[in-house]
Amino acid sequence: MKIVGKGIAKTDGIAITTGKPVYTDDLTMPNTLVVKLLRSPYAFARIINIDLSKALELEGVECILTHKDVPKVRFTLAGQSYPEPSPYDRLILDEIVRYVGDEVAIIAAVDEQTALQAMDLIKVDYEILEPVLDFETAEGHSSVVHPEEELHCNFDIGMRKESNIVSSQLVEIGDVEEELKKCAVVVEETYYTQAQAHAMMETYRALSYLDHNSRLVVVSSTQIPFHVRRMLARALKLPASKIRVIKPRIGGGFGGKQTAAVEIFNALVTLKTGKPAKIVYDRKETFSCTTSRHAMRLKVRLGADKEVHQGIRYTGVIRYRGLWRTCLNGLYGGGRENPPPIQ
Amino acid sequence: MQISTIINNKEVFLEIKKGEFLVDTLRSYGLLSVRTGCDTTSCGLCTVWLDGKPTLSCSVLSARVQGKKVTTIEGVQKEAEEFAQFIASEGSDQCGYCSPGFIMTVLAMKRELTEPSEQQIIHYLTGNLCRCTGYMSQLRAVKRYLEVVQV
Repeated sequence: MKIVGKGIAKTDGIAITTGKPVYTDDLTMPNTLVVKLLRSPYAFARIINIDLSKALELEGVECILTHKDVPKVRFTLAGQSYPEPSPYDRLILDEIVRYVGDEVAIIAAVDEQTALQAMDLIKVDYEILEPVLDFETAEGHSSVVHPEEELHCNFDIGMRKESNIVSSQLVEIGDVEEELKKCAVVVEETYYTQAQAHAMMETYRALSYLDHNSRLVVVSSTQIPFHVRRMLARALKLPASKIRVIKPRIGGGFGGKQTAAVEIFNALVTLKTGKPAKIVYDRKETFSCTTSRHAMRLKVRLGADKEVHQGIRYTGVIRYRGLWRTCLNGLYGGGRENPPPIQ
Repeated sequence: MQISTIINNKEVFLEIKKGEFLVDTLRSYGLLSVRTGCDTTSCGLCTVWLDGKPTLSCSVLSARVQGKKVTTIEGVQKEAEEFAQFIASEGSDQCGYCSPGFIMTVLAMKRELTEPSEQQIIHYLTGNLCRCTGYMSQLRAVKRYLEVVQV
């Protein structure tokens, strides 16, 4: 009993608390390109034209990528194991933007200032579409958020994309209605929960480069390095053996980093340019352009006898899924009109 | 433009860009313990000392530190490690990301307040957010550290 009942100090506790360079952005190498994303100001729109001519003239701009430059293969960023229940519904960049903040162009430059200057010089023409802003009106809305033919599910998840329903399922044990009829008391209530951000201290970020074997190396502040590798393989049309994902110490994740967010952008830049590239989301991007816990409506019916303090329970849940967001049931829709305020 | 400043007791001349913030200048100088957390001066992650006072380097223009003394955790490494032993033994060394800023604030408090009460400690540390610990283990670490060093 040398260990049980005694505190054991973490092996790297002193190093990480006293500021040793162990996190993703501390590992940046010289001449790393800085990647910034031009984002949509509209909740639902089609990109008609993107004029990059002025931005590309700016000295220090390495490349600017748009939906015309990305592999045309849809994937999911949800960090789930085989057989990946979340639908393959997103592209790295799409012709359609589906929320305020959706990515329109990837800008890579020698430094952050240049990338931001280039962003200001990009001109985009949008055809503005009617957004689905509320999950309670998503079903049967005149706008269909993901009408694409090539949207793919690995197995039947109860998707009805024409009705904006990502997935649905019914799990029933016994005859609920019959049992409720026998109850002396039945209570029925509907509850709402709000969306929640994970609020980790280190925002999403990743660094990528090609190693001596021309293999794509991605250093990412993620909780799911193996999933990220598989996602990148699909999204970039590369064999997984050509990708290595390194997860260094991360500044918190809290489940937020169980969905991938940023790696697809800087990895694509590294593949196109052959150069190291990094992307660091600011706090606003982390709150408004990554996955949150979704808002939910929960309808609960609870039946009980007078004598026994336990009856049966029937719960119906509608879960607002956001866009191509994470796991489980829900609806498409909810392109936001405005990003939430930063507290 | 060029500025001259004293960083961790060493006089240095740095080339800075217009509008550059101290956190970025310090990181490009190689002091990677200084990090940005919130971008909005509310999390305390980027705390350094400016002429001995805890200051948020994400909101100080680098041009303003001309002729001033900047101290980061690298400049008080031994003292920081002493305190970090208490952080580690109380289990508040979790993700570690906020710790350098937290330690800089605690070491400044140690210089500023004599035998602070629990309320004074909590008040002094309100500007240093931590998402992992829930603050109780940090508070225990601070109290135990002060008991030892202030005897």
